[in-house]
Amino acid sequence: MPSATLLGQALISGVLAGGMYGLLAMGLSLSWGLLRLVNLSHFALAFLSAYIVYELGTKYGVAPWWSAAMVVPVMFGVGAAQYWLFDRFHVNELASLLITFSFAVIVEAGIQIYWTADYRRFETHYSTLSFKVGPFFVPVLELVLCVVASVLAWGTWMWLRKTYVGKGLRAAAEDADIAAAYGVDHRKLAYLLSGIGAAYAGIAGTFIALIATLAPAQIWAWLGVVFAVVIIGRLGNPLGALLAGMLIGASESLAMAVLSPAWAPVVSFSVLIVILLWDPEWL
Amino acid sequence: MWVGQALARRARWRWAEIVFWLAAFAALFLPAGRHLILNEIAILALFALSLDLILGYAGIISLGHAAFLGLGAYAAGLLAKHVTDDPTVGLALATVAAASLGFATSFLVLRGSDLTRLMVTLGVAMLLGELANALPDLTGGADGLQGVTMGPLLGLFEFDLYGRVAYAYSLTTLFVLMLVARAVVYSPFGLSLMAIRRNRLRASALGVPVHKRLIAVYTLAAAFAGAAGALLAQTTAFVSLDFFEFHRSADVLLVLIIGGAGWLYGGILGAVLYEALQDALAAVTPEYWQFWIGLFLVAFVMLGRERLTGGMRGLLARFGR
Repeated sequence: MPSATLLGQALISGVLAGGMYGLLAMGLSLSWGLLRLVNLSHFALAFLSAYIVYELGTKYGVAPWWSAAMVVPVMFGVGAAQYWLFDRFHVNELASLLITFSFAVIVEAGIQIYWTADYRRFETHYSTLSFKVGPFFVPVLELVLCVVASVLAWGTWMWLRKTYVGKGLRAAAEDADIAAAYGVDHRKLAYLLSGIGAAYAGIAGTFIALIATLAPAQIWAWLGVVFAVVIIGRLGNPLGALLAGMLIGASESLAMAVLSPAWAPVVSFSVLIVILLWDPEWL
Repeated sequence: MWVGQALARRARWRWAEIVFWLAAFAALFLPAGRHLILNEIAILALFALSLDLILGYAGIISLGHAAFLGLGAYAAGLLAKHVTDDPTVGLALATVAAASLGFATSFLVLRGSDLTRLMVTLGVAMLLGELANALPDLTGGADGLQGVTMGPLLGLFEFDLYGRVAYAYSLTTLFVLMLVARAVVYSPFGLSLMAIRRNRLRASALGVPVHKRLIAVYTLAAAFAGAAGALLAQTTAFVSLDFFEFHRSADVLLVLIIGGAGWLYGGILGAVLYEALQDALAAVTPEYWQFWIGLFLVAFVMLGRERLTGGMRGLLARFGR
């Protein structure tokens, strides 16, 4: 059994790493839960953003936050454009799955053509910054990511609960026809939401560029875990997605410390299946 | 009597079907060179047929059908490596193994809505893939299962380099399982499945034991997919973690949608079209074919799905008269 310090450290890194799962899950959860569109290309958009941030940073020396300021609005546009396609061709859930999968394949191929299949790493001094709390190290970048994810999750949650726009969206997800009868313009809201979801992918992508090593095939690496996070966190609930992300992150990290790295993903899927079997009320 | 007659009419062999199978078996006598890809098509078709049983006939969308393909492949591969190199024994064992997994997970799949179902199927496939990765002593881990050598088929036919025996083996398996699928789908059992797909609540009100039927068909589909996995492992003499990958599950879903779900031959038609398209694109643009296939699929699902497969089905039905 590893020492208490190691376990504590594993827990901290796990929760912080879970922030990334949460951030990726949020956009997916919104479009799945409120628009009934399963957007597999979410990961592709995140990685495309990451590559753009990498490109701007390494070739032109643009600071990551400036790149993010450019990439995020572009992604918002991409998300809205995607919704236009779905709306125009009356795409249902199953078809949205297939189309966005194909869309992800296109983006993956595009990345491969432009950046090749080689591993890319955006070296910055941020990635090594950390500070010490008692015996534990806290990486600054992951902490910032977690703070950003929390602010976004909480903000989106409040937006959906308190504002008329948010309430309209939830009403339309519940029953589009009745909501329309009460004057909710579902379409306009859906464009907005689809754009926001993709914008979150852009934000996640910026952090991916700073934290992870990039390769085209990595697009698919997080799919399973993030899907699990979306379901555990309840569809359409950004706060739930964040908490579930942290839960999965922490359990993976603990499994890594106690068992071995190879067992970490096994644990996260087991957590998912146990929760689905248990079938709690909040699911 | 009336229902029986209607069922018998539906189950009748159509001319197009007979012609198709004759052509498929006649392809065995083509000069060597195309049998490897034909073998691949036959296996993909079997895999898609298995998905058609649950998607087309029971309305269950699965994002993790590769779980059964992978399990069947590893079962057949491990058996060949450690116990016996008889392919038919491996095929049988893989089918049974996958069916058991299908039976066990069907209870999970029945829970919850369509959406959680997507997740459960995906989760099971991912879990198995990660397990295979975490147990390198058994599965070879990321290196894959190497050193799978097969004995002669039925003790008579050695697998050749050109894939002729492999194609004969896969095609025969596909044919036999198609006979099984036909028998199942055109039976009262198959009718009750379609009733469940159209309206679950009403079907159960009519006295259809919904859960039992779904468990049965999910188990059957898993068995088919396991057989496809065994064929793939045996004819390529290799098994890797890639068999569990999400790409496999998504590809087979696309293949089935291309061919059209719910008429048994959709998997075969889709597999032929998909492989032919891939082959042609790879020949024209070896670097960018993935890009084009992605683009084609987007366009296809959005625009042509109903029209194309509807048209093809109409054509086949007309020829069938």
